[in-house]
Amino acid sequence: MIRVKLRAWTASFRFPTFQSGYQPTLPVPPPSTIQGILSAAKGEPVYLTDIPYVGYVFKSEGKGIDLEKIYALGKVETDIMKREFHYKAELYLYLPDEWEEVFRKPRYQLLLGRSSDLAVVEEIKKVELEEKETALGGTVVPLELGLPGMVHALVVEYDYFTVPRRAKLVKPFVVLPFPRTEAEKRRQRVRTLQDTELGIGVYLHRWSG
Amino acid sequence: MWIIGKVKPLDEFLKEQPQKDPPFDEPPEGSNESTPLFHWTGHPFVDAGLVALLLLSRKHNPEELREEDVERAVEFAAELYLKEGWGTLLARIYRNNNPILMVNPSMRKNTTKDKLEFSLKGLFKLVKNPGESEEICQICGRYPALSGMKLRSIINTKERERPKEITGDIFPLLGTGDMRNYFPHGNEMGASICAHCLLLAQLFPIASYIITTRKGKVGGILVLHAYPYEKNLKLLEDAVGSARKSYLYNNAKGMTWPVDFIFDKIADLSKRVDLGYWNGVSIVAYYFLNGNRTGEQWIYTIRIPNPIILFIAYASTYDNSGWKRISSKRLGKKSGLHEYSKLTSKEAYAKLLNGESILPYFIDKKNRLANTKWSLLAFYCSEVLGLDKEALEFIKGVADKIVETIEKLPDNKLSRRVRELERAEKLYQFEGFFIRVERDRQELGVPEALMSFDDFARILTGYGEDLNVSWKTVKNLLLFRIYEKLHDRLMKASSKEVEGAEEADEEFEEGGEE
Ligand SMILES: [Zn+2]
Repeated sequence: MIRVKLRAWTASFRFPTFQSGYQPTLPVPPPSTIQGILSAAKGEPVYLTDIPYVGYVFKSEGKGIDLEKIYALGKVETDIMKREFHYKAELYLYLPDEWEEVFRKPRYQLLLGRSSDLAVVEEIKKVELEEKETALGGTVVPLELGLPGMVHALVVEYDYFTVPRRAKLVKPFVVLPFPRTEAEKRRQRVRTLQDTELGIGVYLHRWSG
Repeated sequence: MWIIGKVKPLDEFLKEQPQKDPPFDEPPEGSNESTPLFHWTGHPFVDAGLVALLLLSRKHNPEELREEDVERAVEFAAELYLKEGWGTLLARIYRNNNPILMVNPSMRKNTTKDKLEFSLKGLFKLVKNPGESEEICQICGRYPALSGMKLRSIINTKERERPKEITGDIFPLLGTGDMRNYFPHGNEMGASICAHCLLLAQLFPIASYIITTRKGKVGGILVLHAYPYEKNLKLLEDAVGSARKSYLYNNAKGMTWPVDFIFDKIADLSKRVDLGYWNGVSIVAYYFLNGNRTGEQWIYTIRIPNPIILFIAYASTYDNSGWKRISSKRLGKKSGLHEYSKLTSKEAYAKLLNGESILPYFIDKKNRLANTKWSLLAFYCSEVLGLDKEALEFIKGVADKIVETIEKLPDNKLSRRVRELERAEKLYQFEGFFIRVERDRQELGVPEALMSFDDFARILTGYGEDLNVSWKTVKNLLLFRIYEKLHDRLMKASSKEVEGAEEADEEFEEGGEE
């Protein structure tokens, strides 16, 4: 398995149904953002339900609020919108080996949210995950895992065949922020795989079923 | 942004992609049960609508809901939404143009219960017969999305007032039709939402708490969303109760701060349940307005992690007066806690939600008083701060040895010694305190040393590896125990000191008379 580390100055992951004047960010990217990143890297639509597994861990140094001017489509009309964003973001992707080639030479820009949230590939390395009792965080996990946290319905993947794109798979998840303290780590503990170098659990999603 | 059309033409994808089964849930084979009408989704507004439906029907599980329940709930909503005050409220939730609920003042003049009922029942018909669609609902992922055109056919309003797409008028905080770039790829159809989720989204105001300003204006709508889902029933019971009993919206006991209300709600429920009720429960509150003017469209998400729920439950049940003392300090304007400063009036609440320590509030330095019992402190340290139980016991042991030593000192010296600890702002001052207590021990002939060098190292890192956080935490714990044990003597000593100071002044003044 490989681990791809992406880094970006800013990142923002909107709640899929809060699309109005103010856009708060989710604490971590939803699976559909991961789908977007993989698709951009590969240069063609990628479906998470087609790949054997994918895991990710996201962390940032803090949050801020940006003012954004937006233009109406097809009209001479603008609006100012407040958008919450993460500052100094890092995203670790855990993927099958064949993805190394893809991320060595990404086809399109990699984004952690909107087009202004440009990311770079900082490192690609082979990693072995170890099964143990450890804290999960910086990711979303299925409800069945029994970890307490913010529950929210999220799009797993979009169907890119059509314009506009359509949600193809939607599920409720526990959205777990990256733990900041020992106390938080303790409450996000579960038996799972751990990235020993980062000291954090990695939940491998297998949507291919 | 990447445009796939430039890589490959669209029809090539269509050919290449293997056809997948639609992700709709099929009823299990061999089951006689019909598919439930409604489901939990994980979306706060939709799930709150389901709670309203369940509580109005006096049921607990979505599987128990029957068609009659929905019909009755819908009739109730149609009557409720016409009552005084609800029109203004609904305009803050749906923008003022919701054609299903006929929120717009111009429509409202001619609105009758029958008309509202007609639209809501029409929507329910679409729940029962969702029909076909290329798209699935982006909220439940279960049913086909409803188009604006289909919605039009069941709505009882004039042609020009009917919806063209699924937008913020009928589902809070979705984009508007004229700002299409709120939707993926500028989707002209608005959002992909099914009739099931849309109907529930028309009912959720019944299960909301309304935070009002001091003057009684709507400040924001508070929707509580808990997991496991069943917990929502208890959390939203009062809101639905107000609507059912008196056709009023619930004004959150007149509280003007959403976080204050949520904490109060948890404390209140905790009086009726065991602590175990909250195991594994987490609550997220969504506090929002979705009015017409852009400035009125905002949302705060307030996450109450499980340990904080447990702590509030424990604190308010086992030492409510202590908890009130701990949380009594009001949030100042310059608190620097930006994220929650608009949502609570209390410093301790904001710090708890921000993941900061509230340990300093457990002691009252001015009156040299422990604000609560050791057991609550211990609960906070282990459940919220994540301090090791053993480390906590160890610190308590050291504190008791300090007490055993300094209580032998005369009042004025005792007071001075404690003040040294109170005023220790730098690590060397903290260390100095231990050296002086050790010396006191030797002078007083107390057997055994206060602690070994290893113990000292341990006390410095008793709470985590961050030394700066750690020793200050330990300092507060020590002070807590000292105040708890020696409060009366310390107060006597400090009053003497004050008197002593006065006496000294008097002596000086009186000196002239001698
Ligand atoms: Zn739905």
